[in-house]
Amino acid sequence: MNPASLIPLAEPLPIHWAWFDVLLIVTFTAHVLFMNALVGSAIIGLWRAMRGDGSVAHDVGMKLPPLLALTINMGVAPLLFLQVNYGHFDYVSSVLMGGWWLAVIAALMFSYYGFYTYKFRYESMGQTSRNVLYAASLAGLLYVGFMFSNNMTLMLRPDAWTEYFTTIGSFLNTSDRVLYPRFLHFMVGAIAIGGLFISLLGQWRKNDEFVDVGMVWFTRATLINVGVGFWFLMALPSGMILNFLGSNLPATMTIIASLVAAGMLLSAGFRKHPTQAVTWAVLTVFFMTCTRHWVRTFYLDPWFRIETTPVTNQYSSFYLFLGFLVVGLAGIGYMLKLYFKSREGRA
Amino acid sequence: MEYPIWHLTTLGGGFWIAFIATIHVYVAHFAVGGGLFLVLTEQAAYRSNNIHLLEYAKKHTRFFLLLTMAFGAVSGVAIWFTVALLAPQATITLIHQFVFGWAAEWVCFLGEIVALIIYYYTWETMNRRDHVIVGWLYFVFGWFSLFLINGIVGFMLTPGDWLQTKDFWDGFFNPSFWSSLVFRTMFSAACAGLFGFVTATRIQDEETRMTVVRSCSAWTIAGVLAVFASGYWYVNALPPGQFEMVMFKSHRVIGFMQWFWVFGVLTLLGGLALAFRMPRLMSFPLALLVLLAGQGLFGSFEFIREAGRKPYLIWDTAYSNSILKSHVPVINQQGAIARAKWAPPELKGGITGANRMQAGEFLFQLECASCHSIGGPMNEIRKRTAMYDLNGLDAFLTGMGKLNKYMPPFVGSVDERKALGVYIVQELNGKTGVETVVIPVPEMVEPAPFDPDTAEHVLVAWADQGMRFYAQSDKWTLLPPGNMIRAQLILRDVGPGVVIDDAEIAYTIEPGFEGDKLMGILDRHGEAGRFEGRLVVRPYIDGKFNPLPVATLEARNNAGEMLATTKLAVPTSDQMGCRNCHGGEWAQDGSGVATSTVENILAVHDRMNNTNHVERSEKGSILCVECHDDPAQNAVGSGNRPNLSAAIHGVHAVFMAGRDAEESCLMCHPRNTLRGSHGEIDLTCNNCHGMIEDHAISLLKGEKAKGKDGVDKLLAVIIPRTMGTQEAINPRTPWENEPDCLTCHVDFAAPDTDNAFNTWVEDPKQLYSARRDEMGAVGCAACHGSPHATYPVGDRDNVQPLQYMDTARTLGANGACTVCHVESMQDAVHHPGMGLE
Repeated sequence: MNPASLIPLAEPLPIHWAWFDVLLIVTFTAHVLFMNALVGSAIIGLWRAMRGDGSVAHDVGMKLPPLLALTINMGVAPLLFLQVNYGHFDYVSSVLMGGWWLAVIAALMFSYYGFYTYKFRYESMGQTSRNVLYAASLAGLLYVGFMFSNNMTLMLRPDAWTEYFTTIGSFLNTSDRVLYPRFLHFMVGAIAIGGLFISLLGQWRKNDEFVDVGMVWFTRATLINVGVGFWFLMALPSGMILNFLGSNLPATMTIIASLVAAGMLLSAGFRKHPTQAVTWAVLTVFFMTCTRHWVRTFYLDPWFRIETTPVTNQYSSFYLFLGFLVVGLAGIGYMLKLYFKSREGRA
Repeated sequence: MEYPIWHLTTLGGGFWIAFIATIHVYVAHFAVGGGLFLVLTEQAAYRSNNIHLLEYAKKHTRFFLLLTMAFGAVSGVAIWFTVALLAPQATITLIHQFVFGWAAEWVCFLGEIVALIIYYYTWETMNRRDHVIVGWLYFVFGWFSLFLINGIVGFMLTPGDWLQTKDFWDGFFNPSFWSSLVFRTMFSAACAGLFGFVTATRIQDEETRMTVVRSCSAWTIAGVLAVFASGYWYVNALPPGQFEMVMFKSHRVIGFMQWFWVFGVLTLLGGLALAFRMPRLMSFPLALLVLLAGQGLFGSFEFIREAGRKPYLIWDTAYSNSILKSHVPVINQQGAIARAKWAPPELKGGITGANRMQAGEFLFQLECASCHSIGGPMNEIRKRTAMYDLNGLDAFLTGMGKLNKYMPPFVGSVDERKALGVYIVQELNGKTGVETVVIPVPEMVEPAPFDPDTAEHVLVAWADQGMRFYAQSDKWTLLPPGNMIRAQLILRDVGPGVVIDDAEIAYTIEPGFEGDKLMGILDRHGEAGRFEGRLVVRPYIDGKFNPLPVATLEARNNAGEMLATTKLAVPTSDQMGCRNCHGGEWAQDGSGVATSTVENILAVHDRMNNTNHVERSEKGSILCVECHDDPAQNAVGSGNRPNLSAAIHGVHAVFMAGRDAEESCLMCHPRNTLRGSHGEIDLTCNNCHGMIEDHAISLLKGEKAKGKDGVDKLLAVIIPRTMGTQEAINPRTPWENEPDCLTCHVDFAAPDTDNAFNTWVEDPKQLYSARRDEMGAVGCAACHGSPHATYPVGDRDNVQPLQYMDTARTLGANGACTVCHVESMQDAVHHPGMGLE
């Protein structure tokens, strides 16, 4: 069977495809940053709590529910824009994953209320109960992440879709050797940014221990992640590796920019400059997101080119969104201003 | 057609979406109205300087946060995930149309989260003015998210001009946009009160508790009343198709509508009850009950909205099973499996005996599973199809979506339709055998005596219908039993004469049969040159089914002396195949329409025509001719409804389309209706009456010409089979304009054609059973036998020719003139031919 025959027809786009790719990359960058702060700080908190120091887990734990709220919200936008340009791949992989995919919701709900319980019932729980609840909630998030990695990789592999006809029930993309380093790359990256988040928290609260602890995790995890990233790169199909090693100049430049930003990030980390590190972390995540987009483009290249999708040029609805975005961000900015005003003089 | 299918059985049929969506929308509306309630409560606390009220506002914020931001947000994402899994095609169409609507909603969603987080965390730190501003901003973001999603959800029900223009704004500001927006806004207000009860009834301070609970009562009661008022507007703003589906067509909606009112009243009463002072021990559980009633209210509304959209996910665009309406003609032409990208590869080569079941299973998943579960809580398929055998289910699938618009049509080839039927009937319902109709072979009857040398008279007789069918039960009469015997007494001579005045003809049905007037005297009909009489005979002899009762006729002169005697089969049957599609068992010994079958027929009639026959039948039998006129019963009906025959054939032709007589006409009419010479040469109902579709069209056109209601609706969904266009089919009145024998037997000669369809006798007097020869003396049926049972037939039917000629042939055939004439004749005077020329 020719897997190409399984690819659904692409629906016409309302405006030029590049807009959706840009929106996808930008909003995904934001999502990753929030997700990293959430998952990474939770992992570090748990790690330390298991070793008898519950301070990070406690302080971070109080922030996890709103962080999760923002992570989910920031995840909605890129998933929406992804579905516009690549929905005919993503919906296929979602259906192939079936129950595994829908269970993301249950896991998310479990983690959400788990973290809320941790936050609101902290005082009334014993340490072991806290750790178990914390770990279970974190496990829920890791499940969500692993499922997303599965979905995002399975959608790129129409040749693997034919398993649908030979497997009873839903399946994951576990046969893909890229899946594991890719997931790990995200998670180790999350630990790094989680460390940075703890440092920032420490800096804000003038807690040097948090700053130090966060920076250590930040730099070490980043170093490890360079290795994981290399593993990820090497796991890619050979033609694709070459694309990142000079065959495709824009892709090569993107990965180089990522590495440079990561280098700067490390430098700021070693110098214990959380604020500087934030800038480089944002840039690194942005460039890595762009690199990820290159990976998707290369994977899909034999099957689909976005340029071939018809465009209906209905820009007026785009302006509606931009209007909401501008006014909405202004409103959010105003509320944040009120918030920071209310925090003046408080640690 | 483009996407793989998430195979579900027990939890199929939209279970996940129904489960998640009904709860989500309740909380999501609370997220809007509750925000307003919150900030107004805060302001009221400041105004009244009530510390308890302020404390309540803070606690309610936590409840609000936990419910709306966590559950509300995640379940919202869950709906998205679920629809993408269950209906990827329709979802991706929606995404591409409304991506920026959703993107704008995402901005509002972000604003809500930021506002709520700040609002919750800064009760103690932010100044009152700023805090109230943040509260109001939350509500503004929340309401605009409702505004945006309302446009998209409303689009699915009433896309309006978008269907032509495909323009975002036409779809967004669709015909139900504003009414739905007001409705949902009002519901949000009611939700604020309903959820407010939960926390308000737990306030420690009694005065504050009463103040807040009464405030919640006001929100709830005013909200629900406004929901009713705006709901009226909403329903009336629906375009005709959707309005009809909600108000008249969909039986499901009626159930949900009842629940809507029940829960609405319960919510109101509960809201009112809570306004009375009562201990917390009582008020809190009551608050939870009222909250549940509100869930019921909104759940039933959502189900009404979903049901009103049937058979579409996006009205007039994507069917409930995600198949795009515009693709249907191509899919029907090429086949669903061929068009389905994700059909199992082994099916791509075509359906064979070996893979039929697999094909059926795939087609079930493709076309049915989005609404029907297998053994689950949602529209369980086995229960709904248990009554069908293969034939019945295939008929249902053929007509699906044509008259009852609640379900989409089956899309695909005939082979695929049959494969789906095999899967449902055999695999899911375990019905492997096909029950055949048993027609008993009655005992042969000894012909009456006749001595051609001495007999002075010949008595000939026939039934006006070769198989008088009837359908009747304690709950319903379609057509009552009732036969007519016609007879002629002929004085034998060189030039025989028909005797009318000087004789009397009596009949007696053989003993053991049930009925009325089973013996009696035939009436004289001098003008028609015959005797005739009506009687009622049911096809049961001593309780055993026998469709061929035999009557003995005796002609006597005025002095009472016997002139002649004969026997006649009086065919009658209630072996009607209603149960093939309407379920139930035979009523008695393999024949008869059982009460359970009738109940289903009445329920279907109620569902399709918005009648209340099921209810009425509890009080007395339903007579079809109360509404539908019927020449066979001399009934005039009422209103302006099509006659019984046109209505029944019109509806059933939709389901039987594409079938031949064996699988259409004879699935309903007794299978031994056509006996005799025409049956012997393999003619079928279709040769004279036309294919089922053409037959129905001829009847419907007859009613259309009379301006009857509801005819166009049927004609719109029946495609002529043999005539090319409906215009080419001649209209007719049932029982009066029937096929003319002379269409095939031109000049009484052997026919050159076997198609008598579309030429009707103009007058009932020209009907075969009433017509006479060219001399105007002998009835056609007197020599040729009853209609549909022309000689030679079976043993009982042949009893007269065997009496008079000792052979089963037309009386007088091949020059056997001496049945009536005392010597052989040379000329064919009755009609040309007669075996003499």
